[in-house]
Amino acid sequence: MVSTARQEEPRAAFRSFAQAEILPRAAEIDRDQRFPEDLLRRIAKQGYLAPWLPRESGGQGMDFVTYGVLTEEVGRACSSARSLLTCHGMVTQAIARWGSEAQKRSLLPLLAAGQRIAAFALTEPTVGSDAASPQGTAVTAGDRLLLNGEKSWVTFGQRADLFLVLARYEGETSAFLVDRDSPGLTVSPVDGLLGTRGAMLANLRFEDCLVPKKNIVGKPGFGFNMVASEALNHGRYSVACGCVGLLRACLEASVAYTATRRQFGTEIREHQLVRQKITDMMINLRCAELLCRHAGELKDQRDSRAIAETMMAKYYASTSAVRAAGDAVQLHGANGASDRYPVARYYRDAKIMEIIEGSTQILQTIIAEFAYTDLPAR
Amino acid sequence: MNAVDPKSQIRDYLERVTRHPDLRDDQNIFDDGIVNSIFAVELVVFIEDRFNITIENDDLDFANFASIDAIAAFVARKTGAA
Repeated sequence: MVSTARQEEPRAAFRSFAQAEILPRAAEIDRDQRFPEDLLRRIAKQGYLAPWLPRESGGQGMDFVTYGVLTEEVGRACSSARSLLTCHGMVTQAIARWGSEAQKRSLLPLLAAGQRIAAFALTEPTVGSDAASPQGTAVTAGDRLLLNGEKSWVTFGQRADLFLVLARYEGETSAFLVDRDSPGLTVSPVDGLLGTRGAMLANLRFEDCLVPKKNIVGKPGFGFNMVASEALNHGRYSVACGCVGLLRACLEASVAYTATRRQFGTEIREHQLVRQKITDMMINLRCAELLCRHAGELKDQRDSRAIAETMMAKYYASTSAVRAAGDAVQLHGANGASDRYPVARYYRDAKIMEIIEGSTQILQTIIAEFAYTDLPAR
Repeated sequence: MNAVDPKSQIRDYLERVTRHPDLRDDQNIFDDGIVNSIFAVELVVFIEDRFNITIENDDLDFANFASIDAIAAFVARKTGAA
């Protein structure tokens, strides 16, 4: 993102780590559809999994603008690595905001250190954008709950130790923490994805899965409108900032290629239609950076407008990333359609960004509402 | 400190974001379908920000947020003004 002097030093450190540790393995992660455990451990060791948590919870007390810069630099290197930060961060933030004191005390330090990896189980085979209406159920069984149902497309579900799960409980949507080794939980890997192929997605099946009652997050009935919404707000910010990194990667790859590729006796950067695409990429990158920075500042100020501004940032950054990645492939010609250059991966990863944490169409529907309610106050 | 009383601030905010200009003080904004889930999160952040309080896990009760009267009473309890 657009850095102030305050972010320049951390940005240099984030970029140095991402370029040295993540970027060289991005193609391998995409090809193998696996996220290397040693890389996950390195990211955790850097304290990058939940650095915005206060120090007493194991975090670094990092402000959200700086955290956005971290997410951007990771996203610039590898969208699957950014997915790890996103899904783990969503659950961690939901617990930090709405977890019981016991949940916060026992889990946050472990999550911050990466000693436990968390994943968000929201989507079901028949429940996508209408996520407030899960079909899965939880019923009381003594001092425990019996969970039944299925969850789909759970990012890092193959690797996670802990799941935040939404289900109907006493007729209301509620959120639960479920350990991976809970009896009655089956985790099935999902392969063959279009993009973020190293994000180790899984489907979950709960069959009379036993969960302690104390694992409810928030209160029954607040599972979607508070707990999941907190996670999704965090996830949208993370994805938006990751898209800024992806936009930057598209621009950098396109500038490098068009500066050396020669056709018609000159570098192709001299052709006007090539320059038009570079210009669009650069302006869209700058706009997305500024939107993310603004959203981050509002989050740091705990301003209620952060929710709307984060949605706008996510919408703009993800749609811009798809256009930029498409243009990057086009500028590379046949080379762009091969795995010799990273832009084909960028193209596939970018499309995922338009689907996750609120699809483009859902955000278009919601953002318009803010126009009717917020503009009169400004 | 805002000189306008809490109930008026809550009313101004709710009427703007719900686009319901004639909310009754005791009108249940959840039962009457006036608010959605996106708004619920924003409402919590608004209350925390405007009245400088922290809404905890234990405060999650629709009764605390159901109407202008309910929110004003909740704020008064949290700020010790009740």
